[in-house]
Amino acid sequence: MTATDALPTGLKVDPVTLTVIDNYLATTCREMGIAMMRTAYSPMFNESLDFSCVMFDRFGRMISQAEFCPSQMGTIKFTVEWMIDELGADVYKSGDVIIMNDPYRGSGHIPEHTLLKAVFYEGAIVAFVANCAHLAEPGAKAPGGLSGDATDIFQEGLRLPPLWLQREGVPQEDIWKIIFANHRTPKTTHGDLMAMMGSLNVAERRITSLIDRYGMETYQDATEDLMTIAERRMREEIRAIPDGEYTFKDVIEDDGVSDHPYTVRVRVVVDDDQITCDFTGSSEQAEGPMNGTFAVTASAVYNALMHLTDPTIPRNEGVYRPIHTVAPPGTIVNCEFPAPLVGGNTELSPRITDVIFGALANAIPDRVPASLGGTSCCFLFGGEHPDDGEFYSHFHFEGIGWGGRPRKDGNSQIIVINGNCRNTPVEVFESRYPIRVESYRLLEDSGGPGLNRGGLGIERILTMQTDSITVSAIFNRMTVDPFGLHGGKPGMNSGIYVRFADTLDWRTFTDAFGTESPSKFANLTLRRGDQVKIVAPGGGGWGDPMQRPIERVKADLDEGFITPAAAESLYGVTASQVADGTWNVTPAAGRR
Amino acid sequence: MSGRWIERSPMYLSFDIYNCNYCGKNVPRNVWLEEMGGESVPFCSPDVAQIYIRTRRHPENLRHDDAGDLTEELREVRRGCAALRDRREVAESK
Repeated sequence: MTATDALPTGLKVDPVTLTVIDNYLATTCREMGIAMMRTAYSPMFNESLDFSCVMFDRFGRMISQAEFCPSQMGTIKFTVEWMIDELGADVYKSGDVIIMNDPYRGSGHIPEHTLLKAVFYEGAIVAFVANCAHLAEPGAKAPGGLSGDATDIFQEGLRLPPLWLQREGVPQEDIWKIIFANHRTPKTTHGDLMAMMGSLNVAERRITSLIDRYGMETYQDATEDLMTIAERRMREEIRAIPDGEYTFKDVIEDDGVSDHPYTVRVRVVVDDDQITCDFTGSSEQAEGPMNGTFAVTASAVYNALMHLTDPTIPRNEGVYRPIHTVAPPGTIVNCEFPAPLVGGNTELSPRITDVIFGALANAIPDRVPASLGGTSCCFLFGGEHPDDGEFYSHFHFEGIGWGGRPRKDGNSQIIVINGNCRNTPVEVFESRYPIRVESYRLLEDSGGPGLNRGGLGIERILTMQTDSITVSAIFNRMTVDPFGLHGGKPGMNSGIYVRFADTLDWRTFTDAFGTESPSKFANLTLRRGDQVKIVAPGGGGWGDPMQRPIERVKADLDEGFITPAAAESLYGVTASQVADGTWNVTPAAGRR
Repeated sequence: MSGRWIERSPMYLSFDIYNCNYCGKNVPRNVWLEEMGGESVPFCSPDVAQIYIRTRRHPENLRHDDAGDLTEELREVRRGCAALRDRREVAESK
């Protein structure tokens, strides 16, 4: 009996070899990311990790990825397919590197640039390696690229169709010059793009080594088998969800240009081992930049379902095969050219994930969390640095509270579900930019009350340390609550406020500058001493807060996560503080 | 059925983007244009165009009230959707 005699139907490679190759590919993707993190110039790369690294087979089917940015890992499937199909696979030569960031060709939004390289072995393409990364400065109307009041795609930055950044190992200087001339921070762009190219070289070497060791046939059979296994396992996961049609809706509260709310409506159809998320009935596309393309919506669908199914399933093309998306063109979930869309990838994406969670909440109540804070809290700034006169630009996103879960509280101060990134450390704010972080703290009572409480949001106060700094923002969940589930209460809303130097009152940007939206705006000028207060929302609660064990209410009080007033009014207890600062908690009469 | 296959050209001088009007997916290269209400409406395949004509309103994209069972409709779409074909099969069929 040989090792392959006992293989599951249709597989060609033995399980041990398959496992080794699967881990090798995923580890290579991680190594690509580490190379970028360590060599890039921008904090977007080396602190925030707003990038993803993925490998594809010679046909453009994803064969591996690592644990990077979920929204990018979903969209890159479409981006790479497009980059291969538009140019034709036969034009790729060894040493070529192609760049593209066009959202209407599959990118999430303009700041996210994808680099693609074909890997050759004995003269033939054996794989494509790709990375996608958010450049801190894409040449938009607003520094940092997220123009909260954009009304078309042309205001959102330099749009690149598939172009050769390098041909057969030779940099295409004309393309580089065009990019540098359009970005406010060309040195940073240069460093970051070089880091991305180095990362592709790492992957190219690793794939070549893998084939050297196992041979071409085993490599190709293994990648095929891994896709088959992933598909089978995902189908089993979907089969465990009761068949049916499940609906839910939520809203994007405004689009930065008008105060018009936009409905995101989903019908999730579970049919044996396949699942379709149909967004028919969602609002027409927005005038402002809150739209998503098909790739953004499909990516958010994948993200939601990856969160609800077995995380050990290999992440490759197979895992996506049983998952389908219907997103009618011309709607907020699939806008048509030249609609603006830069906020769709940061704000619409988590809303799509949330509505799928909401739809499936009663179908699989033991797996679905309540709504997360659901905004990236995008705060962007730029200007001329007072120390060296050079332009700087940065995109800061803030952690939020995640929804209470069936068996646990929600996590506090974690970047939004589509990001899996990290925020800007205080040290980076203060060493690289003329901004001082005055305070940064978890916000008491921000987590939605529940048997399992929503995670806490935060409050951060920033003081401008220069005479002129340009700021922009895209927030959401400022007026529409992060919802609770199964009796859980909503999380606290987000907010962004300004306090001018030598004044006392915090004001909304609408009040202070006359912006159409208090949460989405672009290119406002702040002066030395002005302050910005960022309030990140909490997650929704899961289950009836009156069922929360009294010792957990006490722990929340002891930690300062809730106030005594909230403990009494929302959790039905009476709280009294003792000498060491901790709390005694007893059930309030008739409340529990 | 009234329509034709076209091969999209790279959109440099004009921006000819085609989304399948049923599912919305961008179709990078081979597009089926169905004649509907005096306009050419893109789909990934003629089969999906026919399902659309039977079940959905143009141009609103909403389902007819009597469109029937959505689950069964989606099964038909999956069977007819060119965009869901495996890329290896597509490459090897050429």
